[in-house]
Order: sequence, then structure tokens, then C-alpha cells
Amino acid sequence: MKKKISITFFVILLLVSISTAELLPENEAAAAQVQVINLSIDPAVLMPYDMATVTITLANTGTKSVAISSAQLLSKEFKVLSDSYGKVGAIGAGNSMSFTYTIQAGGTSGIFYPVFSIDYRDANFLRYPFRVLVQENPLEVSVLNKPETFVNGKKEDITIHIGNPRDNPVTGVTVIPRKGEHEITPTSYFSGVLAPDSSVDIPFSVTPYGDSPIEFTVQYQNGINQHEVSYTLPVETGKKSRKQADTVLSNVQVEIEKDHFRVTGDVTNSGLETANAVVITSADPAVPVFPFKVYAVGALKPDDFASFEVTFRADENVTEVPLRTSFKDNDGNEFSSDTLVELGEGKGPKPKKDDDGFSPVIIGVVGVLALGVLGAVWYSRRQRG
Amino acid sequence: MIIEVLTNPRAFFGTICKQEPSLKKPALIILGMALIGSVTGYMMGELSGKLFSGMMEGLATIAAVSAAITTFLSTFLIWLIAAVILFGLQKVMEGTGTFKRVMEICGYGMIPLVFATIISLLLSAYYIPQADISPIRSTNPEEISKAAMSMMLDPALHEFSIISAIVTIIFLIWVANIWSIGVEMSCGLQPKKALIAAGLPVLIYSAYTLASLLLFTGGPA
Repeated sequence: MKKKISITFFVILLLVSISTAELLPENEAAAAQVQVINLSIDPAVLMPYDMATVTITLANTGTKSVAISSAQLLSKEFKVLSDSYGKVGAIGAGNSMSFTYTIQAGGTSGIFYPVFSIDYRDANFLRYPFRVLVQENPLEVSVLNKPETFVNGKKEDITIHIGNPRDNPVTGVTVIPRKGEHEITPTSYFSGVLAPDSSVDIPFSVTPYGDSPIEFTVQYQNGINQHEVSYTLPVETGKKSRKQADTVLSNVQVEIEKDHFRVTGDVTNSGLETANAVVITSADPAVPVFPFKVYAVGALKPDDFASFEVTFRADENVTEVPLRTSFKDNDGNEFSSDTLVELGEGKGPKPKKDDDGFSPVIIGVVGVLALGVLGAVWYSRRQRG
Repeated sequence: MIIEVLTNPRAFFGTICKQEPSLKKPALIILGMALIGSVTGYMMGELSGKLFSGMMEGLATIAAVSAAITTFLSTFLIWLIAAVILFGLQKVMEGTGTFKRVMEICGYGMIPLVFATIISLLLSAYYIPQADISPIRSTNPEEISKAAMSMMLDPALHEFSIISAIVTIIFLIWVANIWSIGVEMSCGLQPKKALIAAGLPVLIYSAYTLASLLLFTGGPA
């Protein structure tokens, strides 16, 4: 019995001595040769709620294999979505080993330090805090150049400017305009990678139809995370451009002719752009008639003027008639404006005289004259006898 | 005296032929007729000038004054031409009248035309304001010709031309009557020959006037 107890005591002593032997200084020294030689985060800078992959590479620079019990990533601010590494095994002398984790940022931005922790089997552990940056800055979108005013149906060029204020590049930058009732080309624009602190200008042609705003959505990726930012461009049509050609009628004179009105005058381009294909005609309630139903002036440069002449009919009770001046800009967009011309009350063209022969009064007067003359002739002849 | 020319020309010319021919009174008659006629001419000229008013400023006034002067002078010219024709015809008919005498007869004989001229003035005052004349703006001769023709075809002017011509012809019959009596009394012509000598030019003139009206205005309105 005593012998059994003695054997058991020695076995336990042996085991204790063996375990004590594993925590020996040489094992600690071997574990100390294990170093983090590389750490990469993709994307390098996260946005709130972004997911990223963290890859940590260990290398054993010692001459002795080191057994690793487990490896894990610890953080209060990030969710570690991937599992911990358990029962990793040993990392041989001169070898390296990589550990990859998926993490997700929280809702706050800032600089955080998650900890990479390794438990050695024959030594203590390794704790490696590393820096992770979370930035909220999205891409900046603005309009570089746009027309002073939009004109319905007139094509205008605009430039969307996109800047990356972040510390890391973003990929897959695509601009998609929500066109609505407008015509916009191109329908989308793929720009690709946008480096930190750089920008890109993207041209668009917009032909507005109505006043609905245009929303430009910029889609991009930060790592595998899809983001988008919008820019709304207000569109207000119907306002006159400061440079647009503008036709002004002056020296307008109304003449009444047989059965129609004839209006003459000068048309001047008081704008700063050329007015092409200037045409003048009369509008309702007037009815244009030949010879000048429509008067084509042609192109008018700024400050140029030309004479015009239009002919039209109007009812007797019409006192004002609009003269419609239309022209086209260099893109072929047509503009028109009306100028009221006063005809004067009760001064309309006389109705055509009825062609129903002489009036009975005239015939009667002529007949009386004829009879009177014949009577005078007869009387003067009678005196002869 | 004037009334006697109209009511009893035979007695009037019987008295006249005994005196030396004088053109003073006939000239005054023609002057009166020329003055009245020149007013009508002014109105017609103004209307014609309106047709070309688009080409030059003040053209209407120039045309009106020109027409008045032309009418005034042409009245005297007509007197002279009528006298020449009548003198020639009475000579053909073996008449004995001198040119001055024939011109005197011619002048007195044109008294009915004074009435015709007054009536024409009244007619022009009635019809001319009704005429619608569109100013010509083109210098194209074809368009000018068209516009001038359209003036002739204006209903009011057309009617005025016809009535004026008819009135003139009516009074020319009276003129022919006076001329024939005058020539008969003063130039020693037979009544028939005198009637032919006085009536032939009036007849030719009347036929010419009517033919012109039919040709240029397309007939009665």
C-alpha cells in the first residue's frame, strides 16, 4: 500500500515537473521570437457601419517551433464577424502564419485600437493592439458650371465635380442622373477609382422639359461597402438669360390699306447673342394675309436691326394685334415674343365697295342732266324758227 | 350774255359776227374752266401720288401740284386744239371764218363744259375719298405697273371715270350744238355742213373716250 502511494506521488511529481518544465525560460524565449510582421485592413479607412477584413501575419524568427493555443481579435467598438482561431497548432521556426478577421465598425467615427491576442501553449500570450480609422466623410459632389438659366427644350452643358476628401481611395465611382422628364446624356457615367484628395469632372448635357429638379446620385464603394451620395440640381425654366438674344420692335407704323392692315417697323436684337432665323408675323385675333403673311428677317447680331413689314386682316372691333417675333439660338432652340400693336378704334380698312353697278341716284342725276342738255339744245335750236 | 349763248346762240352769234373777233371773254371762260378743272386735277394727282408715296417723302404733294398745273394748261391747249380742228373742218366745208373768229366761237361754245367741270369736281369730291390706294414700296417696274392698273380698277375710281366721261359727253353735245350754230352764223356755212364740222370732232372724241374707258377699266362697273 505504501508502495502504491509512493509511486502515485512520484508520478504526480513527474507530471508537475514536466509542466513546470514547459514554462521554462527557453519556451518563453522561443515565443518571444514570434512577431507580427504585417497587418492590413481593407478598406484602410472605414466609414460607420462599414465591414472590413483585417489580415495579420505572424512570423517565427526564432530557431524553435512555437505552439499556439488560440488566436482572437478583441474590440469593444467593432463587431468581429468571423470566428476566432482555436487550436491553431505550431508555427515553425522561420515560418509565418496569417490570421484574417472580418470586422464591422460601429456608428461612431474616430480612431480605435482593437487587440489581436495569441495564447501560446508553452508560453504566455501575445497582445497586439493596432489602429483602425473610421471616417464619416462621404464624397463631395458639386456643379462646376451650369447655365445661368434653363430654357425649355434648350440643351445645356453642365459639369459635375466629385471630390474625395477621405484618407483612402474609393472605387467604382458612378454618377447616375435621375432624369425625370428631362433629356440627359450620358444616362450614367462610370469613373472608377478616386484617389484620396483628388477629384474628377464629369460632363453632362441636359435638355430640360419642365421645372423638376435633377438628382445626381454618386455611387461608390469603400472596400466592399456600397455607398452613395446625392446632389440635387434645381431646374427653373422660363427665366430669361442675361446673354440671350432679345428682339425689340420699334418705329412701328400701322397703315390701313384696301381690306387689310400693313404694319412696318424695325426689329432690333438687344441681346448679347445672335438671333438666327428671325421671323415676324401677326397672331390671333389678326389673320395674316399676303403679300407679307410672314416676314423673314434672317440673322440679327447683337445691336443689329432690320426693317420688317407684315400684312393682316382684323375685325372692326379689334383694337390691338400681337406681332409675334420668333428666332432661334445657335442650338436651334426657338424663342418667340409678342408685341402688341395698337390699330386705333374705328380705323379699320373700309369694306370693299359692292360691285352692284351705279347707284340709282347717280343714274337719275345723269339722266336729268342728259335730258336738261337735250332740252337746252332743242330750245336753242327752236329759237331759229 | 352767257345765258344768251346757252339759250339763244343764234342771236348771240348773230351779234358777235358783226363785231371784230375778240378772245378776251372766251379766254376768261376758259380760265374759269381751267381753275375749276385744276382743283379736280389736284385731287386726282394727290391720289396718284399716294400710290408712289412709299418711294419718296412728299411725292403726293408734288404729284398733286403737277396734276393741277397740267390740268390748268391743258384746258387752254384743248381750246386751241379744238379751235384748230374746227377751223380746219370749216375750211374744208368752204367756210369763211378766220382762225381768231373760230377760236372765239370755240371759247364761247365751251361754256357748257364749265358746268361739266363743276359737276366733275363734285363727283371727284364724292368718289376720290372712297378710293383705296396702296402705296407701292417696290421699285420693280412690273409691280409699279400692276399697282397703277389696280388704281384704275378701284371700284370708286372706275365709277367716277365712267360717270365723269358720260357727263362730259352729254355736255359736249351741247358744246357741239353751240359750235355748229356759231360756225353757221359766223363762217357762212350751211346748217348741215356746220353741224358736221362741229359734231364730227365731238363724235370722234366721245367714241374715243368711251373706247378708252372700256379698254382700260373693263367696262361699266
